[in-house]
Amino acid sequence: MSFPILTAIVFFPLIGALVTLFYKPEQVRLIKWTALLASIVPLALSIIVIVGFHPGGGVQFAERVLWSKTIGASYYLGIDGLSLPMVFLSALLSVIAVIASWNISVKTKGYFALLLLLEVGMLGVFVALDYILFYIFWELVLLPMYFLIGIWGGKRREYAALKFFLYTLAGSVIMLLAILAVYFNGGAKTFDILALAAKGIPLGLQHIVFWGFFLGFAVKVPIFPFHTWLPDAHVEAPTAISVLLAGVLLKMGTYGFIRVILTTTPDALKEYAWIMATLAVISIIYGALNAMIQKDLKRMIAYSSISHMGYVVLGIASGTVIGTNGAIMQMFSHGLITALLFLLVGFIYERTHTRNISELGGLLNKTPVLAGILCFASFASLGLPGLSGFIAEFLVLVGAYSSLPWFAVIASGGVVITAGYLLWMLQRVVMGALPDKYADLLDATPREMLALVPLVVLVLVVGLYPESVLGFINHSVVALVKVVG
Amino acid sequence: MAREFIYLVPEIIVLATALGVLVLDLVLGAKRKPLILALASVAGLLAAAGFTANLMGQRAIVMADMFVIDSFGLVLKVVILVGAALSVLLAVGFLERPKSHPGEYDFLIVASTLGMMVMTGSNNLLLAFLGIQLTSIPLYILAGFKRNDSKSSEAALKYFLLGVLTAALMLYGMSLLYGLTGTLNLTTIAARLGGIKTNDPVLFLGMVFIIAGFSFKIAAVPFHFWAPDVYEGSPTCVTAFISAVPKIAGFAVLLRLVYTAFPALTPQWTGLMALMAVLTMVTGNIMAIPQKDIKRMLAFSGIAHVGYALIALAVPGQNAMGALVFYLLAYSAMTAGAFTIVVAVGRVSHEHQITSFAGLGTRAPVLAAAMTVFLLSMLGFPLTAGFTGKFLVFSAAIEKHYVWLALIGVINSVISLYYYFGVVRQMYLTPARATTKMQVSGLVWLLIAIALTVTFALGIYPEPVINLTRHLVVLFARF
Repeated sequence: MSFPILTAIVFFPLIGALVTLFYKPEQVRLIKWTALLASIVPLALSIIVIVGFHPGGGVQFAERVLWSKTIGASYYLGIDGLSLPMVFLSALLSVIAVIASWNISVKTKGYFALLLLLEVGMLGVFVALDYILFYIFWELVLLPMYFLIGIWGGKRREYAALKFFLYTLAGSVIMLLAILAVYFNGGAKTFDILALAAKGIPLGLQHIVFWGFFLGFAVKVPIFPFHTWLPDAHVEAPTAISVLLAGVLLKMGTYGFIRVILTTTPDALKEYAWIMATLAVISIIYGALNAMIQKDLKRMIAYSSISHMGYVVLGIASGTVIGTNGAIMQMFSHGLITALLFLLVGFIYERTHTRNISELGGLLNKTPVLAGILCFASFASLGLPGLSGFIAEFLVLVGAYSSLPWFAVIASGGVVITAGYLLWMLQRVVMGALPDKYADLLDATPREMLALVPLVVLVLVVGLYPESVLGFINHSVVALVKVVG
Repeated sequence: MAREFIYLVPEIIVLATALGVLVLDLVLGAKRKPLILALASVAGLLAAAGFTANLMGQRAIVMADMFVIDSFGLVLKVVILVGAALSVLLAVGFLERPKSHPGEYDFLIVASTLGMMVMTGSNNLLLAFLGIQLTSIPLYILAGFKRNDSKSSEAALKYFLLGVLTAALMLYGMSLLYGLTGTLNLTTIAARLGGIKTNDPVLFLGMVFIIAGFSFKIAAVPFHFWAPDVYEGSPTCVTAFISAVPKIAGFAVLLRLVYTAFPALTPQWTGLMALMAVLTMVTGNIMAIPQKDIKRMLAFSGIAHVGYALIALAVPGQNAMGALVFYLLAYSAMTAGAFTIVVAVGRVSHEHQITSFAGLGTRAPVLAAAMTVFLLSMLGFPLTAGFTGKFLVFSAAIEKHYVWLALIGVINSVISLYYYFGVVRQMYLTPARATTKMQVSGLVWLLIAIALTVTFALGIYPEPVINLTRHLVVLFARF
């Protein structure tokens, strides 16, 4: 058996977290460097996986050990074109989250240990190919997130943390029932996600379990009307946690849509595509309109996430190869862009101690680099051609147009509103006169640049050369999408 | 006769231990008396557990077909005995005893344990009744162990009155059944029911009354009213015992009753169990939310767990029976662990408000982490015993197409997050009121370590235990 590289990727952060627990709380520097190392190793390993990955080769680097014969669960990891970008994104954003958390001074030890535990859960979800394992990692994410928001969050942190936990737990237990239903009635007594998808499950069962999975994933994405936990969680979460929440956790939901719903319940998806598309379009428009009226910068970006994730769902609902390609592109691209935006808001907040748009202004005068990157990220977010957001949303809309034309038309209206609120925000935050109290603001520090620059570069690379991502995902998408048209 | 005697050695050891402790209590000098008595009791209980384990694999029916020896009963007896031994240990140093007779506590626990062993093995309604009474009467006294505390006395009285009421119901049910079948033997009842119309209302009524009596022991709704007051009023070590150990025996006797005596009435009793499961889960969870006292909260949460376990009784079949046994093991481990911590915290704060856990994350990080694990397990979080237990129960339900029951179960699990995390919130999100670090004795660490090991083992690698539980019920069902 070759080196279990996926296991190493997933569990290296856990080793880091355990090591951290043995330090004294005062050894802050040691804790931070350990966390950084523990998160860099998975990133490095994930790059090795990318280099060794054959785009046309299906599921690779698989590891499989029987875990419980009586239950029927296996420890089964593997990576394909769908999970590869997500693993890389999770590993990258984890490193960036550690860098962005360098100033955490309260209970540093617990913070970094939980951050690393969170990374284990995130990476695990994207490589688990057994339903039970998938569910365990899925749940594992909730716990550190609860504490990270609840202990290190803003004023209403307790409320936001519990709301996050309750909503996602409610979704995931219903998903668990769907998993069990598939196991017992799917015709093959196995929790193997791929085997069940390949074999296909009875039509009647599809129509029932579709809704179980749908609820579990929809809460996570989140799709309207399951979204209300998200703005609260984002506003209260510390910067780095917002980055991971928007950058990775939301993608777990859409990943589930593709990995499970698209492949295992394709007929039900075809039947209910219009419902998914309707909710997606509502999310796009409703999220964008809400973003428009927000006074709090972070809340605005939170609503813009709901809007942008709507495109992902629309792309999946289209049931087309091109739309699904677009959906995965959008997941990757939104992960980068929204991470940038949340980082910037965090960095600005650390300087001005406000996120209130009306109290900010003229940042370009005093902090040109930060303000410039904010402009860049906003343009990427509104879909400026040449940046990653454009190609992703373009593919989604093309895919949706071929099967759900009216939805595509309405969704494209969301692009206009997005441009509206982002430009309006830039006008108020970056342009204009700098309030007097901010006369001695300092521009980005090297540490902050270290967090920002990789994301900026990737947004550019993906935007200018989409093949860099599409090349990996396209083969898998063709294999995943069973219902075309 | 001599052969029969072998099978009863564990029970005899426990009886001898109980009486021995009473005598020792009179003979010994006052110096270190509680510790010596506790160690003597533990030695007796563990010896009995050893003998019980030694009988494993044997099958017999002794004492004029009244008492069954089978792996199902033997394993549960081992769990009961070990649980009782741990409860005795927990009381050392944590229980205020009457100066004159400190051994009363140990005697009562051991006597009650004997009752549970009788319950677990009984193949006869009368013996089951005797077992239940032998279990309950010491528990009534234990609930009122804090003699100068009005809440403790109230708990004892309530427990006693409700216990007597359900005992009367149970006896009435047995008399009805006896009238119909002319026997109290479970296997014979099943055989004679073949000649009786199963839709006979008297038969149904008899069964319902007996099940009601047994349900009192496991605190299933609507026979749960004693639980919160008893949990709150009793000394916490007693609460820990009552919350976990007698329920195992209660479920054992319930399982034997329905599977051995009433296979002919399967649709009726599964319906009854389903109804009770739903009522128990919903009531337990809803009532746990507003509780401010942690013992009351755990009482209602315990009721909710009985509800989940009842799902496994509502679904006939081998996997469901195995799931039930597994659930009981998981429940005992996490409940015992949680109560041990409640005892340790209560010793410092002298109260049992949930707010007394404030800041435990900084005052006693390991203790708080352990408590979090137990609460997560009760919630049903993956990699803990509670998750595997719920998983097995819900999957048994779905396997038999009781999706609605599983759905109500998982929704209740989500509700329970709210009150379990009310404690977690206190421990980690709320600043401590006192900043002193907590001192915890080695004994408490030992008990917590045992509970943690079981909780994680059943969560991370449950395979051997699942196999064992399914294997047990196969033997039992064939009997």
